[in-house]
Amino acid sequence: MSSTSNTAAPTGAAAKKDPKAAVVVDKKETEEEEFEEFPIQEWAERADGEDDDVNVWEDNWDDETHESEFSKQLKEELRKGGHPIA
Amino acid sequence: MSFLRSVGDYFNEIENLNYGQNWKNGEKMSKLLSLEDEHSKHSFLQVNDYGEKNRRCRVAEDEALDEIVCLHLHVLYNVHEAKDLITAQSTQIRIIQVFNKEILQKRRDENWFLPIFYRLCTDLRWLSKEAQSCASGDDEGDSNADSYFESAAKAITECYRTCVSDVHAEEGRTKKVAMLNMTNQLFQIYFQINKLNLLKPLIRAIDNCGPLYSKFLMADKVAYNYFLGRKALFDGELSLAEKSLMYAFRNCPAECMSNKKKILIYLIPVKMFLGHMPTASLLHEYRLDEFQEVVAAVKDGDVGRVDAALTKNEPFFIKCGIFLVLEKLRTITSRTLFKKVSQIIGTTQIPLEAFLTGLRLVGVTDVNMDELECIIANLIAEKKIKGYLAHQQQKLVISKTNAFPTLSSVTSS
Repeated sequence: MSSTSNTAAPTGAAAKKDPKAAVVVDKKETEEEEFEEFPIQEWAERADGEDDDVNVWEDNWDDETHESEFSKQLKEELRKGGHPIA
Repeated sequence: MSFLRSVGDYFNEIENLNYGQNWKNGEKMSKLLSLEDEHSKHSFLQVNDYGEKNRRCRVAEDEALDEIVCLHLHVLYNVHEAKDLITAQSTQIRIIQVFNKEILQKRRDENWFLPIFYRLCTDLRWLSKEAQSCASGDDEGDSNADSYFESAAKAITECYRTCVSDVHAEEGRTKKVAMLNMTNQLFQIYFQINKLNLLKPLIRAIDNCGPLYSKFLMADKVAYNYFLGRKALFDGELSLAEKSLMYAFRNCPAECMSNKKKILIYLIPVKMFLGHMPTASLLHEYRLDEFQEVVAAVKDGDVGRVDAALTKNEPFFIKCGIFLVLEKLRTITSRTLFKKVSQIIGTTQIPLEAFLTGLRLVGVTDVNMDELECIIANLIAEKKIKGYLAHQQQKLVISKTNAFPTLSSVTSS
């Protein structure tokens, strides 16, 4: 851990406190990547379908109602390629 | 704990909590044995070998707890004063071993001390990580790179065995309720050292734990489903991944935003493979805008744009550990591209050459005719295209109706 190298800092109360603070900060940082502990341990369980965030997943993104820019390019490219276009 | 002014205060506090032996006191005591709690910053508690001192405070009538408390002060000394994380880690292992031998194995019909045990294990994981980064900074060879995590896993597994074999205690007092928390502890360690296969028996034990499951804490259930879902995603078990991650996302309290975000990072790819695309507002709400371009490109069937979007946010996706998983989105993106080509051509017999034209337009130049047939054959096998390849004619013959079923209607996992 890089913070341990700070122990060579000049003596004195203030200088001595710094590396300690660094250790605490390090601990916070490593935990950021991890699943954090919950502040409480117990709460009511929700059943399937009791979601807060409904309508956050789209299923019908596939039925193209408007032609995207990319679709237009594709059509043009296929036409240039000599394919019969419907 | 600002009210602590001396080692004596600290021991008194522990002793008071030890009189009323209930879960609530166990939770309070867990803080007093935690490395994160305020008390750990008091230099009078950071004492080298406190247990060896002639005149010292003691936890009356509880030698096991007394030993654990002394070892805890020794850990605090090594973390804060000596800055010797390696000794701190091995001392924490000693604490877990004493806890197992003197408390878990000896105190029958009691489980109020489990919150303390959970905290000791969580701190051991942190110390193992720190010890490892110390050691890997010191020497060259990394043959023992994972040894700190491995020794931690070994100590926790020994306790796991003690707890699961506690079958005679009455309900409400059995140590078996620790199973899920310990499985989560081991899950996190095995993620670190890439040994997820070792979790198989533990997962099976949870699957078969029966009514005990309802006794587990929600905090542990949500975490477990998050870990299980991540593992399932990497194993390609999409429906298990969806079920587990949806459970975790639904049951994670809204105020725990950062955990909800972590769940989404794995839930989003799973949902996309199953044909459910996250809305732009969801991505924005959880500060996951790195996904926006990827999602848009997948929906548009633009394989080249998917590649570019992945490359652009590569460091983020690698940090999350999902870069390789996301690369598989090319398959469903190709399916959407082929769907578009088929619609433009407008017949049921599409020359394969037309698909190649589509791929070249999006900058995919490394796919030849054989590889294209292979991609299409896989999509047909996965029921994402209804049709067959006419190899001689170099055509794809598609069904007259619903040749490209919506992805969400195709169950493929």
